[in-house]
Amino acid sequence: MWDSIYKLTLVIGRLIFPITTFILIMIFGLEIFSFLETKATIIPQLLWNGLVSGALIALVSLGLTLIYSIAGFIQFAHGELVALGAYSFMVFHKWLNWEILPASGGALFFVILVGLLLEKFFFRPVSQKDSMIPLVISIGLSMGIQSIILIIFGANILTMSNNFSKSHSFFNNTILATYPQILTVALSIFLMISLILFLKHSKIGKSIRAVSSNRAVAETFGINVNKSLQWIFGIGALMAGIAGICLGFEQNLEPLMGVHILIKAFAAIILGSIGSIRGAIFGAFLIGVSENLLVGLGIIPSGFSVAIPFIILILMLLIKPEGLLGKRFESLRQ
Amino acid sequence: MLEIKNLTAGYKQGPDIIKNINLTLLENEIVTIIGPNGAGKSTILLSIFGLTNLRKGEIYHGARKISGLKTDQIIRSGIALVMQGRNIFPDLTVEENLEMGAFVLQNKTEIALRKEEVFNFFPILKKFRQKSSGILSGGERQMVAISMALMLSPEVLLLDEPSIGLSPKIAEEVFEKIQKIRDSGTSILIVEQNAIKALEISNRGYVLELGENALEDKASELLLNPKICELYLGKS
Repeated sequence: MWDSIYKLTLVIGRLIFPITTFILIMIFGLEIFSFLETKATIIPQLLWNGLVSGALIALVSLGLTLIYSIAGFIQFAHGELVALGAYSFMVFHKWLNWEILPASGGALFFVILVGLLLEKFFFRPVSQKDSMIPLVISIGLSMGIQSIILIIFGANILTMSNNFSKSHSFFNNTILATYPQILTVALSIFLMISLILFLKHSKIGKSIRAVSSNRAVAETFGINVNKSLQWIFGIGALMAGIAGICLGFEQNLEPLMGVHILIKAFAAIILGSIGSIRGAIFGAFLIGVSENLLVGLGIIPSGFSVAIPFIILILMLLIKPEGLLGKRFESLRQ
Repeated sequence: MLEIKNLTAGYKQGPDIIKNINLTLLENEIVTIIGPNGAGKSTILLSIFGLTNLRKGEIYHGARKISGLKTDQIIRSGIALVMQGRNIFPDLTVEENLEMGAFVLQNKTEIALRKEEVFNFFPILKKFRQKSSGILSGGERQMVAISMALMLSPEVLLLDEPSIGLSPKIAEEVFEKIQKIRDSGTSILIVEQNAIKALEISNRGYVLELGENALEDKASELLLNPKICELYLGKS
């Protein structure tokens, strides 16, 4: 008797979420549908904006999650690499009048160099210590680099827009897009696929995963942990630099631009599942699209858009801290 | 084959864990180190691998001095270590685990060849080839851990607690495999809590006490020594 009641409650418990969702959709469905119908014309544009923003966040969140999975801490100065990418590209492109391609090359070289130097001089010396120490160092570095940018370029907003970043309309004027935006999405997807293939099939990629999976065993088989760290910081810096250049075309340059995208990327990896590649990509697009939809449809006032990643962060950490794609902390470093 | 002379070692700036250790491992021999918890048994193995701070003494592999070399050079000289606690890469597939075991090898055809040999030695692992090794049972994990070391076709195999946490039946299987590895020409140094079982398949044994050599004898003699039996083997 009690046994069957217990079983019944289990079944009800399992069904309660889908049933309530169904009832809510039945009640509000019509209203939601008519609401979306009035906004139907702008939805494709919002989705495209979300895709661009998601692609940018993904470039940053991938580096962040990779560094976390190997080194075991959130690298808060990672956002500053994005800002450095944008500013150094502007210096090469606008001040020195280089063409876009060599200017991008120069900017990426500079950002990768900074990433590797940070690893060598700030993070490697403390890599054996408690992960709290590199975390605090990275916060300090973040503030330091922001201040350097502020000193050199000033607090004024700088702009990179030119003929290249003009809008063009696509699909019978339903979507307005710029060439940098299209390039951003294409590059981001290309880099994601190459990164996944690199980690899955190359010897270095496999050894990076091995170090992330079990550092002590990796050492006993002669896998060089420092080399894996260098690779990760280099790859992370490359993607952050590309994100910076793209972001420079997409919006204006300001000293805090790195922090803003870092927070979104941080929320994205928590959302997806920290330490997971698929999770970082999934979380990034979810945040990019949902932010644009929520603000664009007028559900949330645009002034609150900055709060969305924070709200997602808090909710996720309260409800499902292992992330949407995570099995409970499985892929973390031991 | 392997000779440790007057070795003193510890971790980082910490105190000496092992003091004046002398140990030899001859060709085609299984040698077991027994001793209470914290006697420094695992530290000896890690020291051979250059993963501790060596303070005094030397380690020779054949005629070559390996103390002071880097871990990857020591691996290339023909020594492999299986760490305690069935330590593998749980996020990688079984096959990738084996490839990572052979990380220091460059020749791809040789790696592929070794992989097939190892799969033939542990046929049970064949069906998990493409599966994530995180799903394996304890015994299977230990087999993966030993396989990773065998990928290097080592002359000397160091085993740290190969049977810890395994059911008696599985432990029996593991010890059988260890004997087979010895028969194929590898010298084996074991550190083991399950001392009776390990001594039964060993040629010689060392007793370690507070980081120092206390006794060295034939394994069969150690098994009969009343004091050893009482202190370390748990039978009176």
